[in-house]
Amino acid sequence: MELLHNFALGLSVALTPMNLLFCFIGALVGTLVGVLPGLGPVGAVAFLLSITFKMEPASAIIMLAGIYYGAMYGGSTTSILVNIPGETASVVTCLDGYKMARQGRAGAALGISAFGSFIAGTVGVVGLMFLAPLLGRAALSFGPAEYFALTLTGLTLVAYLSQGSMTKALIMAVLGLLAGAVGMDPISGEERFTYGTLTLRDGFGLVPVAMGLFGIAEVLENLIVLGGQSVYETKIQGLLPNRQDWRDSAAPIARGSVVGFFLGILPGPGPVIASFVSYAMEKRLSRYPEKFGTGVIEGVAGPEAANNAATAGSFIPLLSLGIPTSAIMALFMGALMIHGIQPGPLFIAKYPELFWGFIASMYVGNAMLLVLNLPLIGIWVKLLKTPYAILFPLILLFCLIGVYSLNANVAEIVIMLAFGVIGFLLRRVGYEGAPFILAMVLGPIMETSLRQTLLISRGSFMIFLNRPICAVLIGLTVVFLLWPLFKGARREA
Amino acid sequence: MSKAKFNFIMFIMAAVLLCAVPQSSAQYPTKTIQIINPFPPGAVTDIVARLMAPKLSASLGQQVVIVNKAGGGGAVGIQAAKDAAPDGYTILVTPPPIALIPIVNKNSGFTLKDFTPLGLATSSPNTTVVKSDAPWKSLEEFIAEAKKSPGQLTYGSAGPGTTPHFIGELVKLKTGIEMTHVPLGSESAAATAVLGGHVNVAFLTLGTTRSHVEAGTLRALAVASNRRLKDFPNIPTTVEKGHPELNLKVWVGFFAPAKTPAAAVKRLAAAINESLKDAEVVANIEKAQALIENLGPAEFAKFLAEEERKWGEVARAAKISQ
Repeated sequence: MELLHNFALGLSVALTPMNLLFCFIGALVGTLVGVLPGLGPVGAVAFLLSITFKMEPASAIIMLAGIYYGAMYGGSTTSILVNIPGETASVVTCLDGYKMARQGRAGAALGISAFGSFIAGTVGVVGLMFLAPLLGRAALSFGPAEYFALTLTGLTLVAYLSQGSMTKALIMAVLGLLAGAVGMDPISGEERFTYGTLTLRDGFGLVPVAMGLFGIAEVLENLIVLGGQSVYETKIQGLLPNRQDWRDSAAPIARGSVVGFFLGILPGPGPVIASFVSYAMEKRLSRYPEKFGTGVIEGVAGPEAANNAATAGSFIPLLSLGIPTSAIMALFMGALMIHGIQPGPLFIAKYPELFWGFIASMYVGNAMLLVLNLPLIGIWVKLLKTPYAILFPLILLFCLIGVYSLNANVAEIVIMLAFGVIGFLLRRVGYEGAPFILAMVLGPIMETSLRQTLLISRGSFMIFLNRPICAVLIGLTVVFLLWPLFKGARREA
Repeated sequence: MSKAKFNFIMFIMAAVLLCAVPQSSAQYPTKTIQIINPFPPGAVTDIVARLMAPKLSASLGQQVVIVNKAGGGGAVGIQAAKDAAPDGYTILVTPPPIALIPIVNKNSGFTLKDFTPLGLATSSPNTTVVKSDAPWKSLEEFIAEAKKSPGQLTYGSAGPGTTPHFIGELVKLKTGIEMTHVPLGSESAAATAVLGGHVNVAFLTLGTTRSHVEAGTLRALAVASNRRLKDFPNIPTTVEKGHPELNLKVWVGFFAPAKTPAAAVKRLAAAINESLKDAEVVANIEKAQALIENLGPAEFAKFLAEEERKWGEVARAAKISQ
């Protein structure tokens, strides 16, 4: 019963009054930056990092982690209410969440996303607790070849993100891939489409582009097309999900939790990819896929669970191997290093009170977030009565501050505004942003890993078939792609 | 709260303080000093600068704030520091990219000549690491294998034009071996690829590899240092292996824009020197896996000239530059 002993140790750390307070502060700040579009967990953690230098290491990581997973709770709020993702990981929640709100079911959507986040967050911590070292080692067997195969599979998901025309979705995906190619060539270091600017050397940032395509474009649409009129005339029905909602959401939450947790372990923007994968999966498995995009609760429950579980998963490489797989994990690593604590293979054995205290705090934090978020639903829904003349300038302001806070770079604000205008125009002619974002996230990983693999294999493509994980993933991709053809042929026969 | 807002509040606070304390004379420094860090928070530059900041503030009698301007592998922040007014109120903390970027990219917009060195703060020695179950137990064995099958072995780097890439090319140049370069995007990604057996070797800072060398998941074939490390007496040094030219480290130094007045440079250099002698700062920096160097402006300039010469030679031989 070593685990129980460890967990008791963890609770003894997490439940001290100070650490409870820091956990609450983290959860609260996280919810706030999650709700506010543009402001994200990376900015908030970076800002609070310098405050943690004076704190106990356990308190520091408990608070900073609270911000990270707290943001995933808050991120869906504006997606659902005003079709503007609070976080990039909540882009996909707009698709059905906003439609639900338009039908007067904002409460149900917000409620299921809070409960889904809580369940998935808890599942994620359980996974982290039991499987961290094991999965950390397993993740190492994912080399460039496996990442290439995985992103290839990921790209086939575009097919499930189209709400109208499939051709238009594919066009947007291709544009997303092209946008992802901007910046320094990851292998040769040559500049591509940077026009000599420094900002574009790193390519388009995900946050400015997503906030532009979704946030700014939505503001423009409301201003220009709807003339700033409030569109909420529907009566709001209930503030919590009803029994039917729960029945529809149970399986998506369960699947989203598992898929999100595993995808979170892999490098890159885990929560973003996890939410897309979950949405596509629910649409694929649904008995009424044609209804997705019109306000089905599965399209909210799955992705919101997935992005929360992914936050737990993304701690695994850092805590079990000392490998930060994203910008935010590098911040956590910095927070520990500054206290002289080096995350690595010996971390859990060397600092049990830190690791288990952190784990226990995540249970506590998730519970706090649920308690915090449920009463907020009523307030958020009332917020919809706020005149757009007040709401939208505020959203615009937060988008501007949020994007500027990333790197203190004005050029990124210009990028956001440009994508806002582009997104608005494209929307008028029926082109959606979600496939663009997915392709822009996956494209660079795909290109880099393909070229790395071919460097390693000295140009031989056989490496993709010789490695078992890789071959299976490529096989799956082929099946995904050919399945509709096969099904169509059978129906005709 | 956003960083911009934070800076604004710091600015207001500094302004209030300035008004409250009657200034006897207008001697430098009279307002907040910004340190630009061209990497994200949590990076080694950030940690070093933040650990030094309170002592720098005390010694200069002014608030010192760190501003993170990340992007372009450091180019965005370094460029911003170059473009800042050379008045001693904006300085830069940076690792080797300030020397490497201009070598790789002739159009980078800056060179070392655009800056006045203030001091070399810290360094982290380079380690040559292979996976723990790799067949090579020593640097000699690895080199022998690479000579036997030229180009078959792969080395991972943090990307084209980064320190691990330059070091890999220098190793090839000095030992006459052939290896295939695989750019992986970051030091930790390169370490991961070695751990997973996807590449054979990587040349990474001890800060990155330390926890794995301790755990025995990575084997360090050599460490770039004159003396064996206190914490790792079993790792041979490149010098004792007969490769003194491979004595490489990743350093963190402070710079001011080139035309900064001599008085301000002197004052800043003295403050940096002083804070690097503070026992608490030294202990904290060492805990964060960096070694104190504390070279003054003159010695740092000499060191930089040598770095520039060495890496220029590697870039020409390996055709790294564009």
